[in-house]
Amino acid sequence: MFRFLFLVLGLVTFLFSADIAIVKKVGGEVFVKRTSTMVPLSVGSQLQKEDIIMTKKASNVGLIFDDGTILSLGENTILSIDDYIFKPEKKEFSFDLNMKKGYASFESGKIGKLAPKSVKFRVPEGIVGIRGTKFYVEVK
Amino acid sequence: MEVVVIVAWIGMLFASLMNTPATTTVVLVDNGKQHNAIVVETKAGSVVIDKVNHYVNLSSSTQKPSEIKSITQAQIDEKFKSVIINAPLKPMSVLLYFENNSNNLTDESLNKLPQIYKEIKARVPADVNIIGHTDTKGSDKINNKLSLKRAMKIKEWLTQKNIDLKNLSVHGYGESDLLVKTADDVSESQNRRVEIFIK
Repeated sequence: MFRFLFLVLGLVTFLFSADIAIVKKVGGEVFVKRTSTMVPLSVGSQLQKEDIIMTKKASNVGLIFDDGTILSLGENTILSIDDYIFKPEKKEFSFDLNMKKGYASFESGKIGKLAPKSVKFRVPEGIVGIRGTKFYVEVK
Repeated sequence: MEVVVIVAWIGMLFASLMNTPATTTVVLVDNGKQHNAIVVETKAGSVVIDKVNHYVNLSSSTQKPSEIKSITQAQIDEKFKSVIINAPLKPMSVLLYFENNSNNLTDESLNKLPQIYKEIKARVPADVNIIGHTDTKGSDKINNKLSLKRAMKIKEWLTQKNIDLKNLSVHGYGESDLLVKTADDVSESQNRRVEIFIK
């Protein structure tokens, strides 16, 4: 019964919502570019994969992803969410951010804990990855 | 006057010789946890930063990251102030405990409610997930019901508060997810609980 319920819940989530993050804080003017339209972001707005977030001068935005990752962007920033998969029940994870310019603070959540290698924060010159915080030791 | 100009010029020359132009700076900051590290890589190589308040600069995709340098908290706060000013609060979870075979909170847990209210309020529009649990005393069937009753009790408390919630989910896990592992039919106060996940 429980399992069935989870299945249905999972299916409903899959079919009706591709929302992956929620806007918690906004200062000034912040926009999201989604399928070539620009929409202003406000507190409570939801974000989706492939969204491009842009902040103007003296503006900023703070969001929380489904896995608990906290991302804050400062002024004059452009960042795209290239990929995001958080399906712990299937062990499927992907987190790919791409920052063109600006300021960002990134605090990893469950994906960083469960699959640190799948987290990629791209900048024009390279990639920032997070290190596994879990390890095994054998003492003989 | 001439001297001043020369000094300034030498200063500029030094600056251009010593600093390779950085376009990206990556700083590892404290997250309250012990293990905290990042790998910064370009096509030319990678570097691991595992000390907080240390950073590297990246100047191009074909050059290695700079050597790791330290930075003071004051410098970080200044450089990243436009980010820090609106950072969301961390998601959190709390445990509340219940009296034996009942959906009444223990006095100690009852006293925690005002603080929990504050934490949720500080995170609006909040996402709250309430999960009820029981100990192993009694049948599975009864415990499934009891765990849900406990979770519902917290839900009722919360809905009375009229907080702006983006999402509110309530589940009862019965005795399937014990905090303290026990044999069946054991009364254990630590297992009689509700978990609240606040995001």
